[in-house]
Amino acid sequence: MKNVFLIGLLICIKAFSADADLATELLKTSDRGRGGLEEGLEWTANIETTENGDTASREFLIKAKKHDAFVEALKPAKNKGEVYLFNDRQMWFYKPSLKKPVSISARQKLTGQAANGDIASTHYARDYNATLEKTEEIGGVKYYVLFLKAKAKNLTYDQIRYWISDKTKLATKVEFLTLQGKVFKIGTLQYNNVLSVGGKNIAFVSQLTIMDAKFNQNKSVITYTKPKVVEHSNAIFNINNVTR
Amino acid sequence: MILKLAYLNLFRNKRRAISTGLAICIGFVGLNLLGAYIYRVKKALDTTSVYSALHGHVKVFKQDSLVQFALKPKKYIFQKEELDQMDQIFSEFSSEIEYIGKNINGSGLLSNGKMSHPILFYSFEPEIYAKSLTQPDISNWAKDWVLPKQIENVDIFKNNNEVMSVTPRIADIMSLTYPLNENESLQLAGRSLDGDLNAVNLELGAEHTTGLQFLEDTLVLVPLKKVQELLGTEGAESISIYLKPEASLAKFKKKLDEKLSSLAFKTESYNYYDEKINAVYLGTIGFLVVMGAFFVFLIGTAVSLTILNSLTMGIIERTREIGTLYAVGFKKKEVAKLFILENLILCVLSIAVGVLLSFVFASLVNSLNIRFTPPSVTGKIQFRLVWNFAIAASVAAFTLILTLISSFVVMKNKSKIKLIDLLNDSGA
Repeated sequence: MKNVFLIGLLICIKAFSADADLATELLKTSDRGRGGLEEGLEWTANIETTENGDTASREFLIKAKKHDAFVEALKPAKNKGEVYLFNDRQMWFYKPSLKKPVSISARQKLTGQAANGDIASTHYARDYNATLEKTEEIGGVKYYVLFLKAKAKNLTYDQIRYWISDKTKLATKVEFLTLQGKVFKIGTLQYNNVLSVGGKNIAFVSQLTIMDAKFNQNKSVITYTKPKVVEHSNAIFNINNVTR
Repeated sequence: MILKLAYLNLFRNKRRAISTGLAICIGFVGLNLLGAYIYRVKKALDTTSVYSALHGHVKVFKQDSLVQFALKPKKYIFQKEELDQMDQIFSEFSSEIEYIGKNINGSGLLSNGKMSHPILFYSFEPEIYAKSLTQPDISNWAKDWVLPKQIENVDIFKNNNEVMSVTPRIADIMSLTYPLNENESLQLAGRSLDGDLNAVNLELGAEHTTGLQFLEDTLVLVPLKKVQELLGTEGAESISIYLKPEASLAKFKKKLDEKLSSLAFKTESYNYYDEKINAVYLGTIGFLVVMGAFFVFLIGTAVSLTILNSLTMGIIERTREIGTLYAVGFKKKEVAKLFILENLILCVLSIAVGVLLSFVFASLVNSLNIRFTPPSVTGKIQFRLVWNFAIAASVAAFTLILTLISSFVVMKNKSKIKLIDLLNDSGA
């Protein structure tokens, strides 16, 4: 009897562990489509924001390498030269008129519904503990629904529900949750860009739409263009060099 | 004649007269000192609200700005042209307005290049800050709520528009080194009116206290121009109006509201003690009023019961005398008047002693400079009792009325006893 119980317990642990492994593996693969690569990358992001009837547009040039990112504002002209620097999980804001950089949080609003952390490359596999919540079939395609819980307090979101396609292994829908588990923002992703990495073409995110969960007319559409693999010097990700 | 008789009767039972008088006197002193404390706190709150917190006597916002400004600052800020229109209206009140200041409050991050700390910023015009902190009322009533350095460096913002003021608690959190040096720069980051992240340079150099524990690790003071630069505006969130001492706040506000209603944009104005802009004021005063009312009830009841007891005892002892007075032609009303007058004279004498005692006690307490920390206040403040003639007169009137009512109640009951019963009474 005792042995039967132990075997049952081991089977349960094994099944749970297999699910967790699958979730982490899916997350790693899906991150690649959102810039989570070892190679140096560069792309342009245009953010169109509609909020309470007002619209605004901003453009950034993003240079990313592993867990670092250098984000430079291109438009509008008044913001040109502003820099957001991601050093691993630490984030800085700097503009030429400042004597020192300002340490900011990835959670803070960048513009509209987009948080600072949304603009750079995504490393959910590193930053979140993933569990497979369920599978769903949408339009004849099987989706894994993962539940992600932040590993640290300084991450962009506390909890995320993430839909990853079984077919493409890319995330197409995301719900951002509060610490209490309430959905406060909903995102949808498209992958119409192609990135050539090591001779292989991989799909790269082309659009991320983030909507307010309650007022869906308030939204930010991030359009990603001109993605390419570029060799970046580590020096550009050093905050001391940015402020010089 | 009755007055003289009443006065002389006080000396017939000296022990009872002294004990009753003492009860009235202690009650009077207690109420008077309680009033002196509440008066002091109210004056301190008035002064800190108007001058150190820079609310002014009346604060004008755009309609619904109190709720909406943080969400939609661009819509709820007074634009420069709107400020000009309002200035024209204010100029019509030059006989009542002493000066006017513009403010913008908001939230942001204070950064020293290594770490950031979330803060609330309060901005002001340097001239208004200097003018407000040098008001005589500040040194008379609220010097415990202002750091001595603030008064010493009152012109610091006028001399340098880049300087900001932090609290000692924020300086500690951000590991800022003393003395706060103007050469050390900090960055204030916040959202501009367009919703973009922005930041401006500021210099250390000034220090202040909010006087409130819950704000001490949060509130920084920044010149208006720097906040306007941060937000990308020439406008202001609110206008603080400081009145001349002789101006009537209620009348002024009524007239101002009428004039402001003629503008194309809607505004709303608040008195400095309005709960919507100054919840601390209302909370503190509300607590003191409830506490004061409780003590008035307790002391009033004690004094009243003492008089009732003393008078009843006196009547029981003097029933034969009362009967004799009736027999020689005194009317019931005249006898009642005699007894009531006896108590009123005793009350007046007790109050006179009480006035002297409360004045001496208040002076003694003030000279001892007893310091304490009230709930949610930063640092210690002096326990001051501000003796005030109006309060003493009010408490005296209250005590006299209480004595009159108590005496009247006893006499009304006792005057129902028949003459024959009074004359036959043994006095036991």
